[in-house]
Amino acid sequence: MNKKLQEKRKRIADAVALQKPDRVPIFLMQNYMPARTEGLTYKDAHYNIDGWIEANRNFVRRYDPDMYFMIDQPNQGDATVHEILGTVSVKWPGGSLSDNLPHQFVEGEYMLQEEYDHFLDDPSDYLLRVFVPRIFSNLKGLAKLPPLKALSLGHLSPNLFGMAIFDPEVAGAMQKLLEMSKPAADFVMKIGAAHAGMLDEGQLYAGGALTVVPFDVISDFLRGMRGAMIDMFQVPDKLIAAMEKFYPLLLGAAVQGATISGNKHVFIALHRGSDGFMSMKQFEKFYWPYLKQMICDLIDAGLTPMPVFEGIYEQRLDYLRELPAGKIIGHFDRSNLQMLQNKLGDVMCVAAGMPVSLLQTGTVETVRQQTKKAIEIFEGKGLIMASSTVLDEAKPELLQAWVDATREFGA
Amino acid sequence: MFEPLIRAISSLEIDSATSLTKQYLSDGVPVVDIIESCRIGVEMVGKRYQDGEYFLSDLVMSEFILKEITELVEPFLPVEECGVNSISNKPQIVIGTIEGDIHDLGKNIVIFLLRSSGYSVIDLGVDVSKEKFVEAARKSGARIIGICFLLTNCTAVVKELIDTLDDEGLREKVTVIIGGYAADEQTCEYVGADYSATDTTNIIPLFDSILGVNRNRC
Repeated sequence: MNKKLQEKRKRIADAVALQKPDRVPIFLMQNYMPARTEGLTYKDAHYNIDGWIEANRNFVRRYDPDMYFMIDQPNQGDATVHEILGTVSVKWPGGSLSDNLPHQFVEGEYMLQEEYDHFLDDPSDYLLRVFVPRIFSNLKGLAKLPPLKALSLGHLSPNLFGMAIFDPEVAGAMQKLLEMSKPAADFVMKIGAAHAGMLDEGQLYAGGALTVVPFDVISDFLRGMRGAMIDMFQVPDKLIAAMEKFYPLLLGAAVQGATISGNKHVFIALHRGSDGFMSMKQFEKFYWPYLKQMICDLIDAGLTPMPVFEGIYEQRLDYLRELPAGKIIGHFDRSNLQMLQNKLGDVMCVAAGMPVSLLQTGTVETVRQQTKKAIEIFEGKGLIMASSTVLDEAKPELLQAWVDATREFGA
Repeated sequence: MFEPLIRAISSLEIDSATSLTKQYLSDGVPVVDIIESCRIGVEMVGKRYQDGEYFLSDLVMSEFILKEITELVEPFLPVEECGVNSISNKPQIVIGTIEGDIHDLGKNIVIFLLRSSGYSVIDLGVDVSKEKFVEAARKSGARIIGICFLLTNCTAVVKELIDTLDDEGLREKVTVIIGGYAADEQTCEYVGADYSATDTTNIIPLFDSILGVNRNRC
């Protein structure tokens, strides 16, 4: 194994195990930032995958972080796929957004409350014939397919499905699926090869495996935040039943992603469980059991969960103390650093320390001060220096100052 | 006012709130009293939210209850009467999500809280250009401009908007509040806003203090 990669892996592993590494590791979530440092636009991240990979390669070579995260997920990646499908649940630069804006989700009530029964009865049928036609405008024809349960008729079912597929709208949707398969597969293979190449150069990628918790699936993708919150009051049992249906799929996706990518870190973006979003009782009922289970199951599978605690999690820290010690990287956005150290210093490695706003609007001196302060709070142990969120518009000179200061103060 | 309805709304009991409303309507009580009870109930929800007793999910639920009740009482009133009592007829606040950003969850929650507390708000929507903000500020004579943005990428355009307000001679006349994920204190100072809010917990006391509103809160 490449010596540099070996050193980085050991550095990260020591931090995760709550031991003092040779120096505090630094994790860069570059996201769209390479567009500016390498002379591209945000649009290139979605339309010019070869150029985008090259820009990211140059970026990580320049700053040489201990771990990096770039924007390359299939759901946000090649825009050609989304143009073919007519995706309505996300907007992207060069599509309906201008060339230098980040992609943005269009959250909506794509699943109605009264549709829980259909979902619970047959999730695959619901998702294929109701949900998918709503979020991909060019797949509307799939709504005309017969219920998937009709396949239980075995050799009697082809005529039923054949007649449906003969409908021009259904056939059109099938055609779109075939059409998007090549760019989608090309994209995934290019990205996989790119990360493998960067790994050979000693660059460790954080995002090989991704998952979310069941409440966030319902809230982010299906019912929208408003819908999911109303469901907690009105149809709590159905909400929980739906979450139970999703859990094995979400766990399986994470384990499979880690196996395929060879990366043991599992990125878990957490959205609606933070302080302020839901009450403690709701958190205990709808969020924490699944998050805890997910983290524990991933650890049992030999993986390192990387939950990303977006927003503020200060009121939830006692729950996090229930998790196995020395097995997790908890990425924190806005929670108080001292509080994190006090409460979680003996439980999980904390990835935090640098507000992105400081990297956008601060000075070299304020960035250095903040870096020093964060490292001192953790005494260099159980900390990975990370920005509060993605770096997109950080100033290159301030990013460099942060990387240098981490190496200086974290040694 | 109708204490049971106020209690049902403030306790987020939708079935009770809607059945009470139906009962009041069939009894022929003045609709304006039902609406005022709703206002008090929602204001209590806002106060509990501010005090940390309620959460965003509770606010969303109260908004949903209010919407259900509004649908019940609408046939009995002209639509424009279906709001809460305003502190003043003149719009006091112009609010929108800045150009380039299409997020509206936080903005909508803020507007709900403000309107529930009696403020008159002009909602400019999302992806709002600097020019549209300036035009709305000038035409409405609003005293507060609320600029929402979730994306850190929008910091520069928010600064440009505030600079434009200055260039147009409007900056001294309005208080500028930035709000949303990207609106931390560091950013507030950089863009030249007066206040920032990354969550909505203390929104009403902030607006009350700027506009000099004293309310005997329930």
